[in-house]
Amino acid sequence: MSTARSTLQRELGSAPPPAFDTLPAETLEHLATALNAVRLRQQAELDQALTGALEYVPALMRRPVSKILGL
Amino acid sequence: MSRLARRAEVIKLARLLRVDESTLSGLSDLDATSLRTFREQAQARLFDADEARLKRVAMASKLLPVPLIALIGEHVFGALLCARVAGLIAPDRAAEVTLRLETEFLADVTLEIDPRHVREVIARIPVPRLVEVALVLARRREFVTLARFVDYVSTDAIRAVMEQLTDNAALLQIAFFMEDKSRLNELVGLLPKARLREIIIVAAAESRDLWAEALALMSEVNDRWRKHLGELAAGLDDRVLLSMARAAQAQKLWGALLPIIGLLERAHQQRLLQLPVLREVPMLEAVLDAADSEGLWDRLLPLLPLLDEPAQQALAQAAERLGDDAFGRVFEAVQAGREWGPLLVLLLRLRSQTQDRLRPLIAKLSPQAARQLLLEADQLGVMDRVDALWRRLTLGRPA
Repeated sequence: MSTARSTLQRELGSAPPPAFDTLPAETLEHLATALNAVRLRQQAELDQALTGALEYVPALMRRPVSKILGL
Repeated sequence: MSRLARRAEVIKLARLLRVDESTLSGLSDLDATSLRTFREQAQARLFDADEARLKRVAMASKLLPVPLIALIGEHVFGALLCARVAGLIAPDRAAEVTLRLETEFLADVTLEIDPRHVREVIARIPVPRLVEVALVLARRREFVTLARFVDYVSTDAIRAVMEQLTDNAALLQIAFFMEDKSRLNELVGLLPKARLREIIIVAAAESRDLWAEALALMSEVNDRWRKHLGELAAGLDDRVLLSMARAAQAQKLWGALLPIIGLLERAHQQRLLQLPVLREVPMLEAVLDAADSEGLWDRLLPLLPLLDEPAQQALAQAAERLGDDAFGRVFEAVQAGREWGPLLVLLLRLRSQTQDRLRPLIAKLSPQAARQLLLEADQLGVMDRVDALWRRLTLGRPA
């Protein structure tokens, strides 16, 4: 298995369809990089949102909500 | 058709990965099923990536009143995270939240959401609210997103959206991106004949260039609707037909168009096939290429007698570049369909050097096939020319 294909498989969490084996390494790398970037952006937004959300929660509820969120 | 399906898939994947469609041009030769599988894998990966944390968010939301959830969702979480959490909240509560969000924001959420995860939520959102969001998405030209939701909303909601969404070009593009094409029959059935005709006219407008979308729609509906839409197109003026033929040529869409022409009434077939543009050799070469590469000889051959003499001559000229394998497939299609007249149209107009190449195929004809061919040659009044051809190819006269 080529490095590019195994990188894509790792990023995807499963093997891409067999037809993707015919693609050049640069295309596979581009797909892996793009998927990785979207995933990281999603994680960063979630990190930021979880802390930001607490400011809107009434003081009384803040403790139980933080506990559930694992903060 | 597969070409159009591949194009739609590449656009959807570019959307998911937030990259420009042109950067995925290397994928355009892959089959649509593989592209779709990959897109679903990527979508699942993004959804699963933060599932544990998202579930905790959904759980915490149970402690908060709906208006506060809507406020936090819109002002802190943003569209992407709201989309991820939506499917994890109880459907009744999630639907209630949608009523409290700004319509523009709710439209942002739909861009990020996987409708498969919120089927139950969508079913609980009132139709007028769905229409509001759909109109915002249409105004933003978010046709991929609208198409993804078509599979998950009720017929009433679709009818209401189509009544309010007067942009026919938008409807065509939504249909193009729909994933469950089997629902197209129902949707086409909801539109009055006049609106369907207007949709075809929009496809033909030079400024729009939507024949790929229109032909995709005609190709995906069942034969009844394909014939209906094809007849509506064929009943329009020559400029529309010419624009359709030119688009089929420029965008390699003859593979989608041939089966539609095959279903039309004879008079409409004749009108279309006698367009002067069909006397151009490059155009006919493209038609022959599509018939061969997409296995459509059985659809094309019955149309050949309807071409006028100059077009038949041009067709024979275009056929000169077919390989021996392609001629083999022509003969197979003729033998399967048992109609020899259309083949004779072509055969008798080929140059003698090309006819010579067909000697092995003619020699292999069964006695029954040869008899049938002769019978049809007689009916067409070309018996003497077939006879001469046989003698020249030193095959003797067919029994």
